[in-house]
Amino acid sequence: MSSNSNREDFRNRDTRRLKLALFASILLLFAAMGLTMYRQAEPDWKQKQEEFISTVDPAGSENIQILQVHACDGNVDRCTTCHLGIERKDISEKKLLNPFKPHPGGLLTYHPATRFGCSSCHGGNGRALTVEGAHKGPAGGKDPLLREPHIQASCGRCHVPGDAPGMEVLVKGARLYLGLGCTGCHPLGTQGKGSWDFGPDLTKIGRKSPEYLVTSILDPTANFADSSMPSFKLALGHDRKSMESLVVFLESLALAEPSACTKRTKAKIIVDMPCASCHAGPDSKASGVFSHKCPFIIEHKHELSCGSCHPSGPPAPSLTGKGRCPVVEKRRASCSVCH
Amino acid sequence: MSPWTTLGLGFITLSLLVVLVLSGVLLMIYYVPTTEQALASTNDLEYVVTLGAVVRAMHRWAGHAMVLVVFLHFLRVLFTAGYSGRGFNWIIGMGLFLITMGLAFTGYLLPWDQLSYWAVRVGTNLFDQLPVLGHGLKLLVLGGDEVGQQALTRFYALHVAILPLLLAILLVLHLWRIRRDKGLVASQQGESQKSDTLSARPHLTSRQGIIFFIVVAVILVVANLVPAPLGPAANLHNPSNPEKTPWYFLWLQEMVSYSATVGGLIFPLFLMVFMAMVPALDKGGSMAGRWFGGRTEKIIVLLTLLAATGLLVGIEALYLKADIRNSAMSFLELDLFNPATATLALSVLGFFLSGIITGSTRAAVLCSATVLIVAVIVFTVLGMFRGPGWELYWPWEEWRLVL
Repeated sequence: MSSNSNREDFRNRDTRRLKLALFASILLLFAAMGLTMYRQAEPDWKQKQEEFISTVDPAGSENIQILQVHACDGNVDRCTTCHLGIERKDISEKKLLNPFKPHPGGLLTYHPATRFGCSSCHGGNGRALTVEGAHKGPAGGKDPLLREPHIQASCGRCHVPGDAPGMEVLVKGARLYLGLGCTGCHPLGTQGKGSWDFGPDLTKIGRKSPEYLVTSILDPTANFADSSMPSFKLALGHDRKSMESLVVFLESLALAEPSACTKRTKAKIIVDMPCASCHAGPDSKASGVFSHKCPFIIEHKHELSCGSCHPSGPPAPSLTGKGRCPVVEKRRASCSVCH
Repeated sequence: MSPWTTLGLGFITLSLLVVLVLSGVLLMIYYVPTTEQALASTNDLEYVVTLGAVVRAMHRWAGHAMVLVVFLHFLRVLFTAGYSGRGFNWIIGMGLFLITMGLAFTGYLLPWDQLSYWAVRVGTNLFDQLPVLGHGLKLLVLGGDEVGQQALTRFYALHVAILPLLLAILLVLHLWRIRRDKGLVASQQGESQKSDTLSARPHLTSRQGIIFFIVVAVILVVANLVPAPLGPAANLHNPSNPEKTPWYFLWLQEMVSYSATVGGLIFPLFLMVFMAMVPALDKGGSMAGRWFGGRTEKIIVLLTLLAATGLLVGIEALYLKADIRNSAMSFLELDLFNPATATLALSVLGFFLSGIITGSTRAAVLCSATVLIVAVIVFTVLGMFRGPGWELYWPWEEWRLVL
């Protein structure tokens, strides 16, 4: 009898305790949901936009919203969600702090952000909406392409080094690449990109961190124990600027050419229409006086004779700018150092 | 039955599964399983879709948690002899364990970022090490030699359709068998008498409700505080450091680094066959439902735990010091002298030794199982400290980069 009432007692107590615990656990779940909603309601980018509207542009008519660009290289960039002043020349005289600063220089005149986006040149992750997520590079940490002079590597995606102003470091790097004889083991293909020969294809390591690249150049066995590459400590070890420019050129090798951003790809300019690129006349037909436009050839004119590249005399240019010029076909291994 | 016997691990697993299915279905609405769009759509989920980041993090952490909790549930049933008289359900449980690991592994690839790509590539390269079947198995899973679009499609199909379907079927069987067997295995002493039972409602259902709500709340809070990792795009030519499988396969990778035949084939095969045979080997059914059975078994398990941990760590240290992976040993010698072979020998030895000394089949089984489980844990922990070139690194040491 007493055991029966004991059991009854236990049941009642257990039921009461369970009700309380159940209630508490549901409360806990609601608290967790509340935390979620709270964090969802005020993301960082919203706070930035509110800050922009209140401090920079109170008269403007911006809505709080995610802004995005479908860039020509296929990226989706949401950078302007926070970098709101990037194309606002009208507010440039004010001393603005990041992320609201307008883009320096006149670059955006030729590369409007609405067409090219941001990450096509600056790297990072254009889809992200947090400071850390958006600026992260492939080697972890902040993407080196976000700062000078590494950003010049991006020019090489569409441009032949030296064909437009503003990429002096990249041009210097390209010349060093040629001058130090890197092409002997790491030749470059027709698009200015690499291929495996004696040394590995450099297009595959260009997006390692700059520190990694510097280490590899100064002490090749540090990262790759079996390497037979000589150290370039003597040539570059104490010349930080030259070292940096070579790294920028290596970085440019790893960046893909966005075919939809340019009308003529680099390969087309260099190989398929070689005559016209030097002898351009009306309608892209080859004509006029022979003159090299290549900065390297101009610079080394005094060392070179026509015969050093054209042993059987100056070639007859093909009649039109189209088609492959036989001379360029043959000599392009050395051209493609820069191109 | 005391909650300290089951620890509610089975029901926690079920709760995690509910979280995983619901969050997984939500992720499917946005995720695109192509190599071009996988990372982009995951990025969109992470940064733009309302609550996308939280749902993704919930799915991620609940997935990791499920592997862990299923493992603990397996340990619980093993060491309380919950398998006794229920060999069929024990086998189903093992199947569920394997499917859980398969789901975790296939899900790992889907974001298609650097981390996931290389983890899966290393994981599937383990198949290649297996004699005879290995390469065929790899071709079947990847649809080719490389981890590419075919592999992504197959992993996606496995992750969202094939494995969940198998899981559902086995889970229904698992739960149905428990009911057929009149509930959980209870201790014979006192508790299972009819007069002492309580009605399922509210005494069981409320407890299950509490567990479920707490599990969901904990996962939600963790998902809020710790976002799921999302790295840069998979670079097919640029292995990130380290080349590691997900943590639940590290023990395999660690063993394979010594010997592919023993570590990749014989050990896992032995482990599975032995575990499947546990209900048949254990003939001492009277102590079911109690942790580690009787006094003898408790002492044996404790001794084995200490001895196995000491011996295995010692053997590993010895092999590491001798650096046998880089020594001039032939493959045959490596097959004989490596931590996995030592574990197998230790396990068999322990089985007969403790069986003969105590005369209890339960003690023999638990001793042998403890050796294997300790080995898996030791190898997993060791694998976590491995860096580039599969060298050992302390957590505070910087990894030396290798091209």
